[in-house]
Amino acid sequence: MAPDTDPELAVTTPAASPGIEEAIPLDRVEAGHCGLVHEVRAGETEIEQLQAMGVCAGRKVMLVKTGDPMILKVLGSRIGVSARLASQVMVLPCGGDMFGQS
Amino acid sequence: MALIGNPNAGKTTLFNNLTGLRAKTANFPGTTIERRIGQARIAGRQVELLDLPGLYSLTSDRPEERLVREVLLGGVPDQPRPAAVVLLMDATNLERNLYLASQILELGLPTVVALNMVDLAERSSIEINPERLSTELGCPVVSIVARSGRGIEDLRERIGQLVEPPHGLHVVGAPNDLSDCIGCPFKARYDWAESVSARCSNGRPMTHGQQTERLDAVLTHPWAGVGVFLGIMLAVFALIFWLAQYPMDWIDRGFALAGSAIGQLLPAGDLRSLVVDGVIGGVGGVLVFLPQICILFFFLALLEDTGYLARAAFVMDRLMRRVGLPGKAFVPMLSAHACAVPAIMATRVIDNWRDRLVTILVLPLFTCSARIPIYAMVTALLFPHQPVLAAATFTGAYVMGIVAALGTAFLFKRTVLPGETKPLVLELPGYKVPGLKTALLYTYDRARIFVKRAGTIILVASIILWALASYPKSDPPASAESLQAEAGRMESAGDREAATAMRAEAADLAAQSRLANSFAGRLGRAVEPILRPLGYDWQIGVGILSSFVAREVIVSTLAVVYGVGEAAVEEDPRPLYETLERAERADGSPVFTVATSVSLLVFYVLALQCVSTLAISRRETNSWKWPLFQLAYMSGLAYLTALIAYQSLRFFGVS
Repeated sequence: MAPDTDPELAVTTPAASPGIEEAIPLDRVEAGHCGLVHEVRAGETEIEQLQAMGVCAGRKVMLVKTGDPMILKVLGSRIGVSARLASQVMVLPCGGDMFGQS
Repeated sequence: MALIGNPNAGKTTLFNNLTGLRAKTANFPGTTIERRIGQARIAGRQVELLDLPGLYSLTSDRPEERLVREVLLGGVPDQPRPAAVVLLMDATNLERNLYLASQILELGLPTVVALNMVDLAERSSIEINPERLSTELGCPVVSIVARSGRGIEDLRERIGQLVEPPHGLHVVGAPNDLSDCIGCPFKARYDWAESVSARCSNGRPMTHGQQTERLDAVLTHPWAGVGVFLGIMLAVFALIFWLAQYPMDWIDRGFALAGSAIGQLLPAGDLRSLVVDGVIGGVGGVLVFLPQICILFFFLALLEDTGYLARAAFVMDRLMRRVGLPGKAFVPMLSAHACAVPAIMATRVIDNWRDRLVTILVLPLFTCSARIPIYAMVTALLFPHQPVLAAATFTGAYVMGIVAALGTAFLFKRTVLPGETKPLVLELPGYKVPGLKTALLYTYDRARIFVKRAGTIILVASIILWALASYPKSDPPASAESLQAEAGRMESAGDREAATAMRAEAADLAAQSRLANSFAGRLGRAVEPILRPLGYDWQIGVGILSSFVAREVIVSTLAVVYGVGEAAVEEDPRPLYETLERAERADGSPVFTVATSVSLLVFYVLALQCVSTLAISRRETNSWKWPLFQLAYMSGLAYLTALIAYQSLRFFGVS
């Protein structure tokens, strides 16, 4: 496997079933963990931009670095986001660390 | 024809590649959003290429997206609807780029997709089938590498053949319907993007290499990141100071030489004075800004291109948020310590208009290099023999500017321009080696905008201020006449040295009386009652008025009004300081007391006093309203603070 590719992100159906697990705000995901976007609370222009960048329902997001602002990885890009915005994105934790080995 | 694509997809590089040096930058009519128009040679024809702002979608409320939407639908005055679209897509991030593509293709304009950075994609083992993609999107797809020029000729050819609109792609809603419902359209479009991406490529989204991960671990670290950023910016800032002084010096000298050369060709009189002091001096006053502008924008363009500037905005966001401004406001704020003019031009990186406006309004409060001669003069008056105290005063003036600027920003965000600080959403692109050509073109562009847009205003203002100081004319005073006569006698007696000295003294006296009797001198006297509570006499009033061209002018103006002679001060300012120390009011009390000096220093820390700043604020805010507000609030703040400083010092017995 080439070191530059990330098989975990290529798969959009959750590897481990989220099942009964409840959706949590994105800013509560731990660093190195993934989340499947469940719902985005719309409202601000910035949240629309975030959605257009790929943080929208059905996509998988990885939290690279916690804090405010934090760094997310979605599709092929890294995005810096304020914690306040991230708290409006509800995700289902889909387990697994960076490379999907949990 | 319009060029459109995601930010960081390489749009500027492709635009420069297609158009060469023949591009013009201006604002879209009635907005502060820039458009670049260039001429590209395609299939033997000249085609006008319009570079649109980089964006992720077409549907949000952001002003850029609204504008691009309007342009593509043909609803912007003075901007014909593009006949065709070149849609730039980043091959290393196909799925994300397909999102915007779906919206563009639904507009039904003839479109060609330029798939950029295929070399990077190949290196990350991402395989994309352009033929398949072309079938899926219903429009031609060309693989290119904008940086190296690979595939550009093929792209030109395809653009030349463009006549047909893409056939019927509807991901969401009817064609031309951009009024997506909330929530669902993102998912629908991304589901489509994912399936197209899966069919056309091996479905591996690129992740940034280990190098990016490692660099980011340091550069986005809350403390280390800030440290690295401050280090880099201080280096750039020092370079602006150090490197710019040489060309600035050449420009100054060149214009002085040109002035005296042309002056010799013209007969003495009004015309010569207008050409030499008004026009040549004014043009020199415009061009002297260019070295700082060019150096700043060259380095900013390089830093941006490496991908580093996005990290800088990221780490500074946390700190800047406390005063209500985004992290991107920090680079302009640091640059303002060299000069407010390039700093105001650099605020374009701030996305939100209110945040950008607040930044523009407070930038001139930071101590720029033009204030240094004034600080030097006042500290020399206050502490002529105490270097430590003089240094402390200097530092105090800098700190005062910073506190005033941040405090005012904080205040404006709660009063004049209320609104929550916009939360950060910022892509952190992969690091790469910067392109020299792109940076040079960008620098050239900024320099041209400055000369064209701000230069004329600065030139006109310089000529007006020249006229105020030169008219009405007055005869030299009797004392100067008698000195001249005395000099004549000395010369015939053989004492040339004494004669020359006397002639110079006579010329200084004549200049002093000319300025005192001019409109500027009269205005100085007229405003004296207003300036009296700050501890200033009319001579300082003249200095303040004349220093509107450039702050440092007050030093040479004071030299003239106190009769020291302008030429003498340029060589050695010490005689001026001594004269100022000895300057007396009519009643024999000294003019430059401690209280007056402190008051003058405070005034110059806070007052706008710079016509070039007003000119560039006019260009960047596209109205006179904000620069006038800037002038009013800063003058008010300077006046009040100087008043409080002077009166309280007097109250506590310091005079």
